[in-house]
Amino acid sequence: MTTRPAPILICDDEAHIRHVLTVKLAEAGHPTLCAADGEEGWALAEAYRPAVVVTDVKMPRLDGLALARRLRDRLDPAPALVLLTGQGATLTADALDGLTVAAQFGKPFSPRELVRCVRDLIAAPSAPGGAA
Amino acid sequence: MRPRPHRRAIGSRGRRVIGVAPPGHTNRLAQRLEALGLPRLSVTPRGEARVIGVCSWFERTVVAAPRFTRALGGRRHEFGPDGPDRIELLPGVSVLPLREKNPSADPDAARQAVLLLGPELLNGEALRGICDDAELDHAATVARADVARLFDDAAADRLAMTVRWLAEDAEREAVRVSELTSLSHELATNYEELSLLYKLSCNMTLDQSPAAFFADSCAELQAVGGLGWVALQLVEDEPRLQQMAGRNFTSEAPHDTATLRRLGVRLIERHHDDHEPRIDDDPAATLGPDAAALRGGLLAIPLVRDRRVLGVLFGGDRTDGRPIDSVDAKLCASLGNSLTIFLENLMLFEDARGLFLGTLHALTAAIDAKDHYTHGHSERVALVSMLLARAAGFDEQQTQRVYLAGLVHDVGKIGVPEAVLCKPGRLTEAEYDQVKRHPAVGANILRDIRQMDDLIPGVRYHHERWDGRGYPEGRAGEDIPIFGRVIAMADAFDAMSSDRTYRKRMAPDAVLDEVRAGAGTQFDPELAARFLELDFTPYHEMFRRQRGDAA
Repeated sequence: MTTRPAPILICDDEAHIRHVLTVKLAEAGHPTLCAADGEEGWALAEAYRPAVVVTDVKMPRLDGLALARRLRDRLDPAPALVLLTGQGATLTADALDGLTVAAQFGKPFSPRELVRCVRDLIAAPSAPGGAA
Repeated sequence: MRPRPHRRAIGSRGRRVIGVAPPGHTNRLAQRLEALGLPRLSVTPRGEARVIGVCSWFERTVVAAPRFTRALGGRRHEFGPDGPDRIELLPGVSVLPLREKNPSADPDAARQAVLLLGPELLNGEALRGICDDAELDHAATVARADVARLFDDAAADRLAMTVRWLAEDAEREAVRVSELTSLSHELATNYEELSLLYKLSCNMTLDQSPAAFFADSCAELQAVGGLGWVALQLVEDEPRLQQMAGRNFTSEAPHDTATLRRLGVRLIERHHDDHEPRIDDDPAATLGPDAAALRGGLLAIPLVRDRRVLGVLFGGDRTDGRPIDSVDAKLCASLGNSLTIFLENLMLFEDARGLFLGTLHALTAAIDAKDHYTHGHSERVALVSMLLARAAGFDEQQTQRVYLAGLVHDVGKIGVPEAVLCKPGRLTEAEYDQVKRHPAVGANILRDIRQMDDLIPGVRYHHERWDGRGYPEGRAGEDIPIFGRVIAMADAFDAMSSDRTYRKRMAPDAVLDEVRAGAGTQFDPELAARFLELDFTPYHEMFRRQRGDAA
């Protein structure tokens, strides 16, 4: 069996964010998938079982938190979750309502830090989907 | 046999069959297509077709063409179970749905199809093998699609044209993607800068220690700018930056502080008329042998305010080995602007703080000038209040405010006649009433100084008692603001510890006994408990120093 690295799924309705993350993650050797909203993100996640999902919180059709809950409830193992939040704000435990979030980045975020975070998540032995 | 470049294939009436198989279908099917050198497509149950395992020419010329992808996507509903027997995706390129021998009752089951680019394989053993492997009905498939008519010469010509057209489309797409990639890289760099400046602007509050802010800024710039090192050198002759005068805030700088300081001074002297960012490719030549270690070039951004250099931001040695360029200079200059604004704020803050403290000390001196006997009382009360506040768990900022309140707590004595304040004997009731007015008078004096709003309760209530028998309002317990309770305790302690016109000072142990006895009546019992644990060494030292001054 070949060990193909599990992809990183990027969900954001802003195209420039998707482009920047795709380029930077690809440069770091991670295959990526892109979705412009939560529903599209869910379809891709179900088909390709990403190791990490990087998702914007505010998106049309299905927002980031609803997508995250669906990933947690319906995928096993659930992918590690990285949230992109607006205006530098991070979500409180209340707002997350029990969701396990590996990291949060407030926009504007540093692509360098995000790539490092994804790399650490994949390298971590407990990374969901990382060993599969 | 590996596939050849498409022109050759088309020129010889290329015979290509691309199998469309659902994901997860038999490996045998995949292997067979691979052995034939054929790309295959997978169709999800939703009918979305995706090309997988393609050979390189097909990938480059057909799959990479946005027109092909659009055609595939636009007609995906036709891949469903009720779709037509044959779908002409593009001129000369047809999809032939494969018929299952035992159609599944499951509506979600994936459907099979073959993308046709030539007749031979379709009629031959290859297609039969594909159908067998996928358990499909070969005969039915071929019969229903009327395959023969698909592959006349006209169809082959249309196909050749289509493939050429797709290849051009793919080429344009490749250019577009490469432009997009380069734009995305640039965008990523801008994001880094934006996020750096945003982070710094959030850190740019004066609550934070300036030293920590400068050190963080250097570390961030080093990481974001991809520089080997970054250093910030501040001028030494600015009294308002005394706290950090001449200090260096570095991040892995190749030089010790003294050398960087020399380089900074030299740069500032050299460019005193010209405050533009400098990129120096050969620092050793321009700055002397000191700079020899700066092999990777040197970037210097003077931090200038009103034509005056407040410091220099240095950077060097790009980690990727590239020479330092104008983009690096721009990033460093943006950061330099933020640092300059921060330095300016810091100096304005120092000005305001100096004025404020100067005013407080002037007030204190005015009180002391009036009542020589209590010389230094205000400062001692301020000191003890501060020690007590800290022991009681106040944060550092509140502790400093208690100190200031302690300094001015007796400012109202300005309104009490000297004859009363300095009277050696017992006060008459009328005189005592005058003395009792001083907390309220003090609060009134400070009323209009906005920066002292929070100090006023300490002034107004420093003669209240825990049991409610104090003045001016007779408040009790926690109704007395905490500043008032703290200062009341420090004030009583200092009064007992020092000589007064009407009595000699008490011995230190006797004073503490009084405090103990007054806990819960005169004093807040919790504060009294903290008070008895205090180390009074600083207090006694201050007292000794003041007596020395007076002598």
